Amino acid sequence: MVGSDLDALLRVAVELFYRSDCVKAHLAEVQALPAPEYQELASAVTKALDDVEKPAIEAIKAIGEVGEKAIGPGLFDALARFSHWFAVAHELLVYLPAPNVLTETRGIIEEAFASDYDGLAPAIILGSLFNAFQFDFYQKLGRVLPDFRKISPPAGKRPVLQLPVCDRRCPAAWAVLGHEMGHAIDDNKEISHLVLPEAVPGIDRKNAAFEILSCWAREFCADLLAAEVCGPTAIMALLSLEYCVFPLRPVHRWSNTHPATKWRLEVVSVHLEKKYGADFLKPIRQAYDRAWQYSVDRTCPDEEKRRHFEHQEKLMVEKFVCPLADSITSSLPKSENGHQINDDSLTRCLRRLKGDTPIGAQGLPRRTLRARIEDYRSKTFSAAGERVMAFHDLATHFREDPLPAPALLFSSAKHRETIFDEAANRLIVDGDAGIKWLLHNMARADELSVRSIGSAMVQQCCRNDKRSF
Amino acid sequence: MLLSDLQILERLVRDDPECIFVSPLIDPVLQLGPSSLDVRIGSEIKTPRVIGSTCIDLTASGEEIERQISQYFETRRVSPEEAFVLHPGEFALASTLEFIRLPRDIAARLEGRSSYGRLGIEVHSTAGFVDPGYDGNLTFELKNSGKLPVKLRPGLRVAQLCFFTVNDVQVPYNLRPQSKYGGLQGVGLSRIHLDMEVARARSVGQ
Repeated sequence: MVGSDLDALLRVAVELFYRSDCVKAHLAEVQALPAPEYQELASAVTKALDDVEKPAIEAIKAIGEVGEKAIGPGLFDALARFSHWFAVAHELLVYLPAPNVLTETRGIIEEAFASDYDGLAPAIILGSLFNAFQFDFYQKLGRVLPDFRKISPPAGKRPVLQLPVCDRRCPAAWAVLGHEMGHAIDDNKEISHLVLPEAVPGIDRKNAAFEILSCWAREFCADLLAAEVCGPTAIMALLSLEYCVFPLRPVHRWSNTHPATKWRLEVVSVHLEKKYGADFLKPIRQAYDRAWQYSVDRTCPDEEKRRHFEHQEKLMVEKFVCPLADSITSSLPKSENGHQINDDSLTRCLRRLKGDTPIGAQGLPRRTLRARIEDYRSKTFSAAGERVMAFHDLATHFREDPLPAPALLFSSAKHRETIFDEAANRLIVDGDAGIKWLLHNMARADELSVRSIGSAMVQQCCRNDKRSF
Repeated sequence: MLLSDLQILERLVRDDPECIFVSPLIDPVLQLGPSSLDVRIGSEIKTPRVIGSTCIDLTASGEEIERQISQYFETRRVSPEEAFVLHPGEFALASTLEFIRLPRDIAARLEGRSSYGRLGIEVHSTAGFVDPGYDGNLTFELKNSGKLPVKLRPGLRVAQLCFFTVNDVQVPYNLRPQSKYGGLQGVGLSRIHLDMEVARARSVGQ
């Protein structure tokens, strides 16, 4: 095992420890309910998670003590077991009472998707880890209950977006809903459906490959729509979920329903680099490449097999992925808000988050404001009215504007990345103390981000309805 | 010395650690008075529920007091378009929308605004003082002393802060080990169980 493999596995470990803690926090809330019927299941699931965490901590501690050369498959096996039980435990949560999504979750998706959100009016619910999906409630129910169509008119069509329960309080993870909104918009506007024949001309509709490409086109389209309105965080949220189940399946493979995640990340990166003029996803890609390479090496140990896979992958990218991505990108409706993320604003946000300060709003930099005050002080006023006008003018410059959804989400996700990176290092050195540090800092960071989104929502509302405030 | 409007602005743009940090500043022209800064109500409200508890027993164990207090309150997150109704005689905890950080040479006082006071709305019952070095949201102890329910919405300017300079502070709030509410995000419940004398009362009782 080499250093980059260890990096990949430590990334999986921090994601799992963090999300497992989120599940336990949810279970603690359930146990506090005046409903004894749930307590046994809640405490059993908590105990199961505690039990599978221990071998993973021990395996990491061993690396710290003995060094990388002595690792062997121990860490991977412990993480595979942790991952498996985490996924099982999470699915058991559907038997327990589920709270609503936070007001802030709906607020940020609404702000990002603007009129598309208003038009589709999606319901957002908490649910499974794997099916962070969207579906048409009317169609689904109509299929199993034909009489439902008689009761409810087709105007009742309403997509349902599902967020994993463990991500209820994690704003960086909410961007996964952007992808699901992307599906709902695509279904509505038939973007992927229309571009497919143009992207892959001459393919027979009855051919099985057409069905596969059609699924892939839908995924690319949802990814790109999400990236257009939510920024880089949508694909980051997807990767974060994938790390949690990384040891359970070869992540480098593509399936009949989903293109390989590496391709999706590449397609979104290219689009965002054009949009923002900066490659914000570069460190994310580098980290994911390590995980991808680890997955390839693990499943294709001999050279010939690996070369065959790499050749096959290259062909798929050239023949299908690039044409599909190009066609979809050119047909993509532009985001209404046209929000940009700029480096300076991002740096200020990250500095604030590091200093435990919320980021809901941002105004002019302090040095600019200081210059305005100096300028004001240097003026002389002949009449009181003049002074009042000038002072109001000065005060106006202190106004802070609510940060747009992509910037809020991305700052939150970047801050989370910083915590994860440091936690990975601390895990090796400090073991249990490293995990404690991770959980404490992530809980604090998530809370800060939730509050920031909430305050941005209130601010937006104050602006739209000035009379009342 | 009480800070004037211009001095408040000057303090807002100083570099750390001398800066008064207040964010978000939605409408500074509206919020800035001659010697005060209006603050708004946030979207989280905690209201007491009386069912299931006979009293808050301050002679119980620290953990038990904490549990009793957390069960005493019910949390609601009000969306910006929603209203929260404060009924006559009702008490509720809320917080400032603004996150505040004071340097070690500035203290603040939280005061109600006259227009709300005239409707019977009080924003704090006893705790209106903010120590130098405090950071976090400030908690409102809301009470409606009037005879009609009052509808409140997140973002309303219900209170104001006055800032004072203080000299020679040796241990600001953020460095004081006994501080209980530093770094508070949102509405903070009472942490009375951490008070020394409450612990002492407990041990005397035992």
